[in-house]
Amino acid sequence: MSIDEPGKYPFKAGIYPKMHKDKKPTVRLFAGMGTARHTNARFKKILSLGGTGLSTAYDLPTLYGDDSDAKLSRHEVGWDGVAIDTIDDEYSLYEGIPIDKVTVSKTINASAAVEMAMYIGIAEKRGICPSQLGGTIQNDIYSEHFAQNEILFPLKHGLRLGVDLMEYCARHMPKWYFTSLKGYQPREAGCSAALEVALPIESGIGYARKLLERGLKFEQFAPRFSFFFDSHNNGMEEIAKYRAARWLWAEITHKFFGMPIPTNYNLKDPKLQSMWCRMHVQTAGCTLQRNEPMNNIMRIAYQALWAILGGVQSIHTNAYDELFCVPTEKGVKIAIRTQQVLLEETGITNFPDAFGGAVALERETEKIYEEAKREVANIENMGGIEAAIKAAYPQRKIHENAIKEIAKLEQWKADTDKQYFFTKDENLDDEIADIVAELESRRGFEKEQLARLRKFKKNRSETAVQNALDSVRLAAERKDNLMPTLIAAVKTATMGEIHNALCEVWGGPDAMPSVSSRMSRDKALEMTGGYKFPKTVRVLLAKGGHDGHTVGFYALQDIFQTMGAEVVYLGFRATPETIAKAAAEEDVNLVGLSAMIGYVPGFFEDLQRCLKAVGRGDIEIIGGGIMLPSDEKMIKEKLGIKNIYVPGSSDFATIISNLKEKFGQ
Amino acid sequence: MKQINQSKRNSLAKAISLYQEYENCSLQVKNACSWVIGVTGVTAAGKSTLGRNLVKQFRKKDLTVAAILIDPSSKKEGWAILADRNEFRDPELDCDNGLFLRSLASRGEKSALVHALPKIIAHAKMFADIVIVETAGAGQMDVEIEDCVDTLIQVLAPLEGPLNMEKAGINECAHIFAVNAREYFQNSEQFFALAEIELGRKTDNNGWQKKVFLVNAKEKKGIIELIEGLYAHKKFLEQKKPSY
Repeated sequence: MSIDEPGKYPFKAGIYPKMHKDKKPTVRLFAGMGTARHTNARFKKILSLGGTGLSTAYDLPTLYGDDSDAKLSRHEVGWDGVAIDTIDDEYSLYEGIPIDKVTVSKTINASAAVEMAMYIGIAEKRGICPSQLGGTIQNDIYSEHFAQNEILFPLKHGLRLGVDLMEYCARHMPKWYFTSLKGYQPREAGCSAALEVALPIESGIGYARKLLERGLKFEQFAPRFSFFFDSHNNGMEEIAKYRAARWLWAEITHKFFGMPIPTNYNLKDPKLQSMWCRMHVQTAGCTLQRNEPMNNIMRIAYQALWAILGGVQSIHTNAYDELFCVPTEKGVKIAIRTQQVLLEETGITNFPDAFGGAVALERETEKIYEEAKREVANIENMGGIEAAIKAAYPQRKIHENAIKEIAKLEQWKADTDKQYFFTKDENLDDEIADIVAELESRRGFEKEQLARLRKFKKNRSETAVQNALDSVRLAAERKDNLMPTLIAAVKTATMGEIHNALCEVWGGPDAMPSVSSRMSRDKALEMTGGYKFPKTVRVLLAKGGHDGHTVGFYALQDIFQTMGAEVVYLGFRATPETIAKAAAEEDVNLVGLSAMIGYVPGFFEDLQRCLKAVGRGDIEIIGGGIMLPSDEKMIKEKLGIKNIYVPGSSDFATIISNLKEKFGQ
Repeated sequence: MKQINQSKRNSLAKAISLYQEYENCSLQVKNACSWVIGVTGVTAAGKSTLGRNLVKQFRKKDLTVAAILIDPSSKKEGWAILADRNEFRDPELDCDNGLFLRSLASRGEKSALVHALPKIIAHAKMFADIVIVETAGAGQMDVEIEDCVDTLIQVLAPLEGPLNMEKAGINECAHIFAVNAREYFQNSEQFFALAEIELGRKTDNNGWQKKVFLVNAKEKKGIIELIEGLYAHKKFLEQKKPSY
């Protein structure tokens, strides 16, 4: 087997000749909570601890382009990220941070264009030319359609907005990475490592074709594509994955887009840079466990090691308590220290592609490369990523793998070697006391943010707002790049107002396709143990709030299906009022509610109240989601909802036996 | 105009469950005058998207609507995924108390639904000005939907391949045809022209001359014209049968 040198096509061993010897991976920590001022303080803390880049997490309402005062935003404002409604919020968010020097990453997609318009706006206000701004905005619309479901408009229009932003940056902001092609989200949703490589590459091909249509040359924009991968548990597979991704992308840029195989390797050559699969990696959130949460620190450290061995450019290490939707200050500090120990103490950065040439690794690399290449070919044969999304192909592939993983976890419960995994910490309450305290304080964010929003609305001219929104509607109907219009509009209009205006012209998102398949139902059967309802049982499935995580939701659909239920599917983003009305009209026996981000008991309480209000308090709620033990206890005891499934800690068999008791054998 | 308040909503919901659960169930029903519209068409023709747009128009006229959405059950295992309601999600309709939406599973061929549907419709007429029944029709259930409705719309999807009306699953009994142009149907206009010739010139036994409309349910084009066509049929029925 030949030894691959870093920096040489197809870049299996790394994109730069010296890799981490020259430039250590950026320690980029994801942060955001509460209002702009809370996150601003956290940013300053990260920089003082030795972070070398910033990464902004937004709350769900912002990610879905809604204002904090929208009906659906309840229980979510400032919860798992910062709430941004107006340009004033954006200003406070980065106040006192040298944004012309520090690079800023923005994890936002559907509403990326409006957020970026605000960022450009505050830079101008601070006298910084947008061309000086450096950083990344995620802005990957395709992947939202197969994984995370942050979708505001029909695919065609959402894409146009995203590509407008890309084009604007490619032309005016040379230092800005305007899309981060996501393998992370599909992987977290449960797909295989090979699909994690294939999907973002396919998305990249899709965007590239659109940008070429706009008259740009490939080498004008491709150097500003970046990739975002997940660092999972299986080390050999992970290291191989990063290598395979670089290999495949380089090959595709050559074969599909005519980039020449380099001969003299001038690192400043945009055609060479266009072949680089630059990657940011985050450790896998889905591997974190609620039981004995301190063990997560070890999981994260290993995952970060795989990333360094895989030659990535930037790493986000999760905080061990992130599963509780927190990152507390303590958690963030340990996360930074994890990277610092790896980079500064282990000496591993001195050996680019340290294990390259090892037979096992080379074989694994080839395997993932071949599999990913096959998936790319499959999707190309369907007519590209857009057509594949419409045919729900990636969605179904992800779901099939995801339910396999859930079923596997249930089987682990019977494995004697795996018992440590399910051991609950006796002192858990003490250990997470500070998490509970911090979460409690988050419930006040909503009020503070609403006051900020009211103040902004009070101090502006109504005519100016209406003019701004009219210009947005007009621009949406035309074909020109929307960015200049948005940059002007954010001066007076809020994020929610602008998105509503666009929605009037373009319409809302298409209904989600159903992803159930024979295979996924077979797996579900393993979980239900073959139980079938003895009579017709009707179930309504819904999600609380904006959240678009589908893993548990789709799994429930399969589980009820295998039990022979009639499942009414309401889609996402339904308010408790909408869910209750549907439950009454459909005369269902059960409502399944899944909630994971925000004040979880709030979603259950609201639904219970609304069901009573429509005279159907008798309909039983069963629920699932990610929540603190104290929340789970509250839902069970105070609200009397006894069937609550928390992945990793609840026993699914209990729920099945409760259902047997209710509906008979 | 009929009102749908909370107790009416819940009693209609329960009644539908009973009719479907027990074949011989009969409840007291007052004869009520409502306009019953059927929407049929093959899977993925765009029935629900069109249905949602029709409902929105009727609600704008302040008419109350009860919509019954029928999906097939799995023949072998009995389960059903009732996803049409998802297609009716709309900020204007989600909490609209003038609209009653109900999803039904066919529960297998020769099922109780064949008997239940006429009863369900008669019951729903007491509560709403307009009753809409949406079903995939052909092959999916034995209900002769045309017997249950006043006006029958068939949604035609210009599926790929030759202009083939048979392939599009034609229903001879429909009064109105809506050719649903969707972005990935290349030949909608051609298909519409052909449908016009083949279907639009026909007259049914009552003397109604069938109409064909080109709509784009997703982009809300042609909906107003279609509504006018529906009202024309209603008027035709009223003149034909003053007692209607």
